[in-house]
Amino acid sequence: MHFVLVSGLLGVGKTTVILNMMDALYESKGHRIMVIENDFGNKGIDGEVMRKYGMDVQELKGGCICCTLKTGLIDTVRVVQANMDPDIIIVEPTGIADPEIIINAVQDCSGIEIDRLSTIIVVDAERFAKTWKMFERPLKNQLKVADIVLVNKIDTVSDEDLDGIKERIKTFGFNGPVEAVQADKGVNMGKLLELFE
Amino acid sequence: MTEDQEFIPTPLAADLKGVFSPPMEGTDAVQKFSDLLKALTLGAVDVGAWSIGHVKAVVEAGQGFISMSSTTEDGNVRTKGELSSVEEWTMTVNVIVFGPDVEDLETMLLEKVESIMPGSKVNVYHAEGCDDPECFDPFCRRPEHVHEDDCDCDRC
Repeated sequence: MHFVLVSGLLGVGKTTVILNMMDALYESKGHRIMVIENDFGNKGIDGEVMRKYGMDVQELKGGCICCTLKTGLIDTVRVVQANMDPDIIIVEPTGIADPEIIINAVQDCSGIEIDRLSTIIVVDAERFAKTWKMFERPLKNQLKVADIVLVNKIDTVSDEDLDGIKERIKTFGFNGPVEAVQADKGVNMGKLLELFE
Repeated sequence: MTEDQEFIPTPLAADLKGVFSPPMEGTDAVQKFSDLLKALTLGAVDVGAWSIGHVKAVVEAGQGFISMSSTTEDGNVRTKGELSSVEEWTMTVNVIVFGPDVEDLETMLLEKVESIMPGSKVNVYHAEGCDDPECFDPFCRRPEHVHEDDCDCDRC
């Protein structure tokens, strides 16, 4: 099973990335995919949106899966793997989760068989200049475990600003692939799909 | 989750129900729901939000469905989906912002709803945070975290 973590700060477009990615993965490769949602808030909006677009979604509410719901996440992954045996499990944590804690939790856990683990970090081009200053530490924590970084909402910034964002991401110590995308229109999402080949 | 308390946002969720009488054209209805979401974002700034985490909503009306998202202090709203003629509708809103007290956020939300969607029914949901100083999960509801052993509240 391929375990895919799609993480990023609040409002960066994680759900939109997943929706776009799932369409492509299902249509072109026929993968069986399950999404585990951990929406921040008492009402699970992201899970509802995904269901409306025909996705299989398990929701974890009432806490954060890198903190008090860590056990809930592990149990859910175990149950999903045992009962549905999907090719891919995509996990969307809250925008305040530390992805490293989630990765360690599922890697160290017996009863979960992960063949491959990928971490996609999404950042918001429109708000990057502000958020990297305000949320530098959480952002660095996320980049530390990234396999690929998606700079989303590129329709809102100039090419020059985009270059600046990519440069900043490098100064934060991330030297892997950085893709500029507009997830709601599916722009430049092809590179992301290479993760699944 | 980050260990930094200042990175923990204030969340508020609400369910809204209403009826447009006479029924409203889909594009007009989408604009109205979008106006409400924008007002909530701008209202959050007015009551002290120093950063918008995410203000988002889903609206269901008949067979139609839209999702909306606002993440910037100018209240710009991104909308996905379409509505046809709208009579009865439901809307679920999640406001997650950094800075304001939840009470101020709730007062603001109720005022904006009454102003833009007068007469609609509103249910507001609060997070039930726990009292454990070592727990940084604002949505923690584990009984051993929420209540002390000698707690004499109704639920215990």
